[in-house]
Amino acid sequence: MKKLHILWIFLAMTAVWAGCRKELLTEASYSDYIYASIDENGGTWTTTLINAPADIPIPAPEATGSASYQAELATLRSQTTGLTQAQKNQVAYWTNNPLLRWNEIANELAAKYNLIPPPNPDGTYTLPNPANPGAFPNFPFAHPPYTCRMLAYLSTAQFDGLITAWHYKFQYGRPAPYKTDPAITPAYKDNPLPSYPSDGAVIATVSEAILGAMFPLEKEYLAGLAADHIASLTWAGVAVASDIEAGKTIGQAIGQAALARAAGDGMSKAQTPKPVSDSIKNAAKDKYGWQWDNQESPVRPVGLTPLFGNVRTWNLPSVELTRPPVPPAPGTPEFEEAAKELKDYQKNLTEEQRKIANWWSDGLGTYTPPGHWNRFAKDVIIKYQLNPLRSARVMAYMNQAIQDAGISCWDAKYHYHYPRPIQAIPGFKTILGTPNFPAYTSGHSTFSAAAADVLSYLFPEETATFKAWAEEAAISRVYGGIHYRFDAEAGLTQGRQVAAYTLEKARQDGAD
Amino acid sequence: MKHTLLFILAFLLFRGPHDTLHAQTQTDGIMMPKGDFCVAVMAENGTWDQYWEGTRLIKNDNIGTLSRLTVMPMIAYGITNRIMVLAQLPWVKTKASGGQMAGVQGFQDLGLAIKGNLFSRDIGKGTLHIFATGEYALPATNYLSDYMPFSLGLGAHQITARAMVHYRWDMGLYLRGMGGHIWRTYTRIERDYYYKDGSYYSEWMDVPNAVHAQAVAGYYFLNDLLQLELQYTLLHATDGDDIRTWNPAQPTNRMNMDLVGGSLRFYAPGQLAGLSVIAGYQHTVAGRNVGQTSALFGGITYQFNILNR
Repeated sequence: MKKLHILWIFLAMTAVWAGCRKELLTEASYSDYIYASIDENGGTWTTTLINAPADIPIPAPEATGSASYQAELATLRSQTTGLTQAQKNQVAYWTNNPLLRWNEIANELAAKYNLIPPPNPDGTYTLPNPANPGAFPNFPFAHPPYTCRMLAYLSTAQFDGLITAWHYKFQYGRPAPYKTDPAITPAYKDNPLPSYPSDGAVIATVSEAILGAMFPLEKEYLAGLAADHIASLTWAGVAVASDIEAGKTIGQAIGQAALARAAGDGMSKAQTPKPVSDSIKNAAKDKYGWQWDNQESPVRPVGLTPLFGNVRTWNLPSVELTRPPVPPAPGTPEFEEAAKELKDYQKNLTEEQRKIANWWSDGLGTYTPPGHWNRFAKDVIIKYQLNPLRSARVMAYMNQAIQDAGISCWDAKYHYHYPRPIQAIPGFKTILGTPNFPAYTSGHSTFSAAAADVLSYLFPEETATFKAWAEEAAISRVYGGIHYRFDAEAGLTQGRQVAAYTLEKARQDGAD
Repeated sequence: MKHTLLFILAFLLFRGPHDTLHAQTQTDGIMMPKGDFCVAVMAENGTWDQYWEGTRLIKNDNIGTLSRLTVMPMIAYGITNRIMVLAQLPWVKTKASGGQMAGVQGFQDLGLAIKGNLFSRDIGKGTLHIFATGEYALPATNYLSDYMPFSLGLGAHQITARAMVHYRWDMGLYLRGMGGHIWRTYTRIERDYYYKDGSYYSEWMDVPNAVHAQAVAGYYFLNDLLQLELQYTLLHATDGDDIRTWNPAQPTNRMNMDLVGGSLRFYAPGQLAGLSVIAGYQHTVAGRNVGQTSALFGGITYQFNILNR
């Protein structure tokens, strides 16, 4: 009977053990910090969507001694006192580099919307309809081409918006409210940036505009976030109402410029009807003697965005410049060697290789490889404590290069229309799902090499890490059985070539 | 004596959404006498060609029919007449008839359990027993839980507590009710971002806890040589998200299943006493985020007393 105690001890341990909870992060863990630089000449840097900051006229602010400004300060004083816990949480959440939060929100929406349309009961597929985004399947399907473009517009618009804000900040030189009124204590680390126009308001407004257009079903959610963000600027004591209004004006104008470009960039034609898709396939078959076919059941009639290669690039003058050489034809010794490597991995994949394949998988339901690199960029920006303008520059150039890499890669994919391993190797099985587009070149490799090269330019101390990550991302697809080694290697080269055009722009933008 | 043989049966604790070998040993109505040892091997082949994406039952031709073979060796020992301990280690192999995704195979979770007889008394024309069990299970290999529906198991440590009330009439009929709770830890996955109603930046997924309940009716025939049993079993997660459209399941999902099953067991008489064979069938009648599995299972057990030898 005494031994029955063992059972009770066991049950008691159960209760204790159930109390051990892990905290799983749902957002980047960082707080406000001292900016590594202020970049007084940031207003002179090269913009992308507008010719120059002067395109968006912002009137001179009222002088700090004016009655109206003093009234604004008085309002701000009352707004910064007696904050509720919820308001304090907002201030802590947005930090003094809210650009990273908006990037994170963009990534989360990408993951939320990265759902492939399922087949209908009759075996057909219905594609998302931008004209009716709420119909099933919802618009958008945030696949890698969609997501890389979304991130490029978001961060380019943020960058142009902040260059414009910096221009007027240093033109007008209105000090931060807490510099004029010692009764206001800022919630964030003190910095010498002029507060008019509010950079936070620029970021909130432009981010809401871009993301609302990219994720139309989220407009209400995004408006709520933007309102919280803007309110947090006053709770934090870093901007008065007129600072915020000027920031909003810039954000709205840049948002319009960005969306005007997006409307005409060719993305709406990237997902082609079947006859167009078939003619693209036949062209490759005639020229090279092979073709990629979707292997799903039921077969998807059209691959993913066959004409994404025609979408307007940011810095790459023409996709022909970076189109890789012809891949080895199936059946040739070079191909057989690559196929044998895949079969060997299928048989003898180590746990380390399996982990690499999964680590970089970034497949359906995730933020995609472009999102993964944005997450890295966010982490490195926090590490180096960049100000919002510098942060926007990192994100803008990286995402422009990533989208250009995607466009270049998609040009190669549908130009060569090369079959995937599951199509070309009889009986081949994989541990990753094979995407609905041709093999050559590897998107992961191209995206990653481009991102790594831009980040290496901006954070030279981290070059070895970024390079290693890009190479690991590339080989991960070979371990996963969905790419040949030559897809990955050609993709790395292509990504680096594409990034060079963005770097050329970065070197001349006035920031370095 | 033959009643005590009842003891060793399938004992897999529903540790994956796909496991349907039921937890009969821990949830049956019998104890093993002090010094009794039992060895057993159970096997189960479960298949499904439809699964619940959330609450919607769908087909996916890129999976076709998913099959899951489980072979489970186990041992048990009676420490006293009222306390026994058990250990088991299932080996699992999965594959799909459609698509190009590779199946996996290997050892799943090592389970260690203790069972106690809290109460036994003759009441009316039969005997009432109350039992409690506790189990600790942990992954025996570095299998990847985040590879559904192929993954060998949930990849989490689990503690299970159960209580059973068992009444047997002298004429051979018995009824049993069981209620239990399964606490599950986190499972380590091979990526550090996933979506579960929002972003998670972690290599860990929180695997939902579950409640486990069972109602059983059984009967002994032919002078206790043959035992027929029918079971209705519930295994319901207490939280978790749903599988998203056309996505694979993941360990964070709310996995529920309601199972109906039956088994027949034969106890060898005479010279072969101590040996038994069992065969059964189980079907998933309702579910959420799991396959609609039908499973055939069978096994052989051998029980002997080391103290008497």
